Amino acid sequence: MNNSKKLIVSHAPHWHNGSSISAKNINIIFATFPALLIGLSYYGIPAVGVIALSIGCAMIAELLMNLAMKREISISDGSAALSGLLLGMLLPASAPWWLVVIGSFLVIVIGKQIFGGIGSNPLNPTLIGYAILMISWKGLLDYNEALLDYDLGFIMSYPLATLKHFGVSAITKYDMINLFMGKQSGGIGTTCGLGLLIGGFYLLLRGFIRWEISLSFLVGVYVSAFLFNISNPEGYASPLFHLLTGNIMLGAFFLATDDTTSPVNFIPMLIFGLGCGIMTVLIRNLGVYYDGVVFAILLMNITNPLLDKIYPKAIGKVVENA
Amino acid sequence: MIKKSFWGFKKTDLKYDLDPPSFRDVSPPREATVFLKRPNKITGEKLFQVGNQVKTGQKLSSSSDSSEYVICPVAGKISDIFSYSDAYGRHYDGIKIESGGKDDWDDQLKGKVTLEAAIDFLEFAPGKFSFRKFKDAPNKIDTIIINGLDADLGITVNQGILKTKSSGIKKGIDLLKKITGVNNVIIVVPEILQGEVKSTGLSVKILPASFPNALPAMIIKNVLDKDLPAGKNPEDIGVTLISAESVAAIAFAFDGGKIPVTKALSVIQKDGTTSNVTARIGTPIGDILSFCNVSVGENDRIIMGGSMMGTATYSKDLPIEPDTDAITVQSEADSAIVSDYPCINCGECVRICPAKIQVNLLGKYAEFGLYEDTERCDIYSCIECSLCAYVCTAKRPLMQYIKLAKYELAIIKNSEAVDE
Ligand code: SF4
Ligand code: SF4
Repeated sequence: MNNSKKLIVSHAPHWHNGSSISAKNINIIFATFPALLIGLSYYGIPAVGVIALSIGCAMIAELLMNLAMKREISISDGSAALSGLLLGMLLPASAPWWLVVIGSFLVIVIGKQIFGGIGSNPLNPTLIGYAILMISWKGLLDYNEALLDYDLGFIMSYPLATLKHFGVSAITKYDMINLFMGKQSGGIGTTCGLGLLIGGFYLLLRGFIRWEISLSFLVGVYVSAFLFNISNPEGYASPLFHLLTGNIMLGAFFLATDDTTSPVNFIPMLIFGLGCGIMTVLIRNLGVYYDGVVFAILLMNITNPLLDKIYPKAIGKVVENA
Repeated sequence: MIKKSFWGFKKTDLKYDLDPPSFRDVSPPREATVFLKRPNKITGEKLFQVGNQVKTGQKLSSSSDSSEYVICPVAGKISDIFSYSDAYGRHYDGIKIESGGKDDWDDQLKGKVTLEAAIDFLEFAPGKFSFRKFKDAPNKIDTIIINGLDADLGITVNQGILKTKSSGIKKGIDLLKKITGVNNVIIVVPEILQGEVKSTGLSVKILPASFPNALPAMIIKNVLDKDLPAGKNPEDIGVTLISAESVAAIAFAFDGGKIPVTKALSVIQKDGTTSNVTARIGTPIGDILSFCNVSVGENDRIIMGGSMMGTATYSKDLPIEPDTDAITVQSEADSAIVSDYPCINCGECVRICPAKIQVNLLGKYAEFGLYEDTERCDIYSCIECSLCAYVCTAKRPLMQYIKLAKYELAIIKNSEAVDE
């Protein structure tokens, strides 16, 4: 027995389907490219700077936290890079470097690591970071103020701000096709609906995100915006306008679908997506903020553990009748 | 190993192999080893020792009081008795029998066709079907399901038997009905074998040919349209499952008066090709692998059983047992490695679990030692198919957690019972 070859012994299963966290994150990063590249092409070097800085700082923050908490180094799984990238995509190209640095650290430290790192965060880290920035430096994240110096050959006023301040009659100047193609102001990677749709479809088909969440998010937005719109066409914008503006596309395919903060069962996924969509429209139409995506998703993140209590009965479960 | 398909939105579908190669015989080994379960207390006199001559098919048990026994697969001399513990810590006496080169059949079974004879002599037969349950089960067993598929991937033993031994199956069924008095016998097969089993006259049910549909709980669900209550055995609801191979063994035993000592098994190589062989129970794995020209390298895995549910073993010298349906050899590159990453709540495990268990929560509770909470997560519904660990994005050792939690729960239950 002693001179024979060494064998590896382990418990079943002896196969694995080959999926991994890093492959998943790399694919999601890859899927942001269509929208991201369009954004970068519009805003040029400053936008490249913001994205590079947000990814880099997020990874550095993750590394520092790993070291501080004496944990295994986890930057290679790509999740810090992805969270940083998504923050960068939400920011305007003009965001000052210190804002990006602070934001990235907030994303990783407050959003993720203080809860215990990957898998333990109750709220989407990117959105936590972004929400804190939004509350603290409102002006710097106001796309109208921030992008004042740019003239890219399309209407540079932020569509949702126009809607809020000047009403439905003012938004007739936006052409839906232009909005869909990304010809609108906004975060670096949030404006091109087409690009985000391509990326989102890629992720859906590859099975990296779940169609239930993305679809019900969009349906939630459409239906609730539609109801507002038919009840008062002068007061509320059309559902299509809502779908094509702000952070909805990014939210539906890249933010709400975050694994850790979204439910896993079928019905909860639908409720979660619908909830995100409806909350977004409610905040947009009735709240003080231009866009509701960030807060809507954060709010639904909180309900996630509760939602996942709706699950099918396990096979053979004996229901005890008291 | 079967990877996730590139278009991952499709549900994982692990198909059973439906093309059994024909059986080739491995010649009886020079030395066979059998494992006899060691009783907790040894009472009565020891019935065998090193140096005893044994016959093929002779029954060996530790003492006259013990109901555990093994059957000698070859005739010859007991050359060694050693203690052995399996992967789950159960203790056995390993008995090595040096073959005399010729079979000298034991004929104690001759002329007896009763349930008692089956209990006395056939519990170590290929398939290791236990006849005792017809006497001991709390509820009377009224349904027998004959399984024409093998539970794990790549194994084609039962299908091969259905194809090659249809007369044996037919005879076996009649004998089984006769000795047990159970008339409701159902046979389950994959669709393409429907024709082979028509002649049995039994009610034939078709099983979807993908993993884990050949597992007992899934068969009961598919065929009887019943849920196996969590934590129960099929016998508790009056059903028992028997493999086609065991049925053929019954025919062999009662027809010829000889206790069957030959096991059919699939040998699955690193590249996934399968050969089917028949070999004496107790033949060292190494003999069978060299018969099939399978080489084993450093850091490979040898698995008793299939890739999803089999038990990895550490030596080629270990023997095949009456319930070894396959030997699977895997290279290191093809083998799953677990990681200690936390659960990222992706839900892949939840969506694939055939028992509809919230495996993400179950895994977390077990990881942090909250074993009693795993009960709320329906741990007893788990059919141990391993699919959750197969798909886990974080490569978490979910099966290890589940087994650990079950084990700890049993200890907790025991100590509670003592306290009361
Ligand atoms: S092994 Fe995993 S997938 Fe299979 S029944 Fe148990 S929990 Fe579900
Ligand atoms: S597959 Fe693994 S990582 Fe995903 S939810 Fe299940 S246990 Fe967690």
